[in-house]
Amino acid sequence: MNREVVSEAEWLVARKDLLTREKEFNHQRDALSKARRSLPWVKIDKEYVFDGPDGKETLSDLFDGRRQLIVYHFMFGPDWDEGCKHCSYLADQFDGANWHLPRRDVTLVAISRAPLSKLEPYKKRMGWRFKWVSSHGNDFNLDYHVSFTKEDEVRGKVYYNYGMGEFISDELPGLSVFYKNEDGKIFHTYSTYARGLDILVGTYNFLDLVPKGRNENPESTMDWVRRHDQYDA
Amino acid sequence: MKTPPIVSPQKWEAACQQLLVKEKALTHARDALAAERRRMPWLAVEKNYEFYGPKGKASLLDLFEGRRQLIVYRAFFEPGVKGWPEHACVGCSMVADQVAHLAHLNARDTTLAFASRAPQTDIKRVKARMGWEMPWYTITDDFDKDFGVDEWHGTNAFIRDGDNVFRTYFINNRGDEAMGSTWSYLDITALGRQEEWEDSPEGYPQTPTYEWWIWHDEPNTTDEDRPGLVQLRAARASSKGGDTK
Repeated sequence: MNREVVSEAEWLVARKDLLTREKEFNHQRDALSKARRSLPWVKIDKEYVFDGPDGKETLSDLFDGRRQLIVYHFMFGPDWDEGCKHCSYLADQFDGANWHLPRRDVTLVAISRAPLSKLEPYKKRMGWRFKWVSSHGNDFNLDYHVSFTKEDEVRGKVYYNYGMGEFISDELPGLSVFYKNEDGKIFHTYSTYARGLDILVGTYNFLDLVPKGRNENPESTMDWVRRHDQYDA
Repeated sequence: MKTPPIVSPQKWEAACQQLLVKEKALTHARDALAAERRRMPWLAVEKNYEFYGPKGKASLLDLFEGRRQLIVYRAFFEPGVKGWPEHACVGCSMVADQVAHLAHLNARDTTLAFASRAPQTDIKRVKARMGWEMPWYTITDDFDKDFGVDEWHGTNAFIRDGDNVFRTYFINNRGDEAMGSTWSYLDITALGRQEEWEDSPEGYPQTPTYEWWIWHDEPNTTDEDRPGLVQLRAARASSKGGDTK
């Protein structure tokens, strides 16, 4: 797999050529972020109540005094014994970002359908600090198209990532963003799913720089991922 | 702040579907860029470098910790950088905060290390207080100059073939930003990064770029004289270890 080994001058020529495209990419990304901020919003009239470490909390409570709320839809079904390992890989990135997000008026929480009595021991085992609440018994996960019913499973088709697809699991990953205005009204501004979550994985950003890249099996990306306490030493 | 149009769930889904087409195009553009990186030529590292680490002297090869690939982030932590000796540079500290559990990078045969000019005793103390776990070495020679990180933060990638080390990649400025997920999260919020350079709808909150950065153990204050902000301004004025667009 070794690449051509060149002089520093030749390497710099190749590197600067790539840099031009990297800069173009950053500008494309900025333009896309602008388009996100220009999306229309949907007002939320439904009341959701979650079980959290401090008791019952509404969606409004989860904002924790800030204007913007990011909800990571963490795959942990009511009957599961552990949280999804791929979501755990994503969640390993949350606490670092979460030092800084509040300074930009953002609260980040995770929400799962499993009861709080399952979420809390798992969170402790993984050493996470972010807030994690349970939507057990409410429709939140169904309404945001990240959990699916027995009927969906029988039908074999689900609405996910803005389109119809095959039923894969009773839980799928996603992330939704909400905004609360001066009058306390809540709006849904954005949701992303599947590879839309890719940019949130700092580990991937590092791997995209090294010669071997992510080195993933194209048939089954992320098959190398384990819970961080389950890698072979 | 004037909000965007408030619409029905159906209209919102339609708008999201349109945006999703562009988002997928960007994801694929990013994949293509990463594919080009993997085809870059390599540069042999022929000079010997000496670092100090928690276990004493270490060569560049030692920094690999036996793995195939090495990423070295040059963080500004040394006398003369504002915050010394209590803190590393505020931006470099934020980068450090965003390094996720190292088990995942290690599982891809990759070691991530930080390198600064500060002695190990200072590095050890600040790492412990800030809760950082990455290996962090002291630079003792021309490593920073030779790898483009003597004046600015930056990220170098290396690979080894046996004991032969090759430099494969270097990035800084906004490229370093892409390593952290705080910016990625902010890019999907309604308000964005809330920085002046952004092209946002009229009236959106925006503050000077980077000036909202904090050390995560800094008191939550927006005072003009808070230490992180003072450091950033000083770094910009002296063009050392600070950050530019």
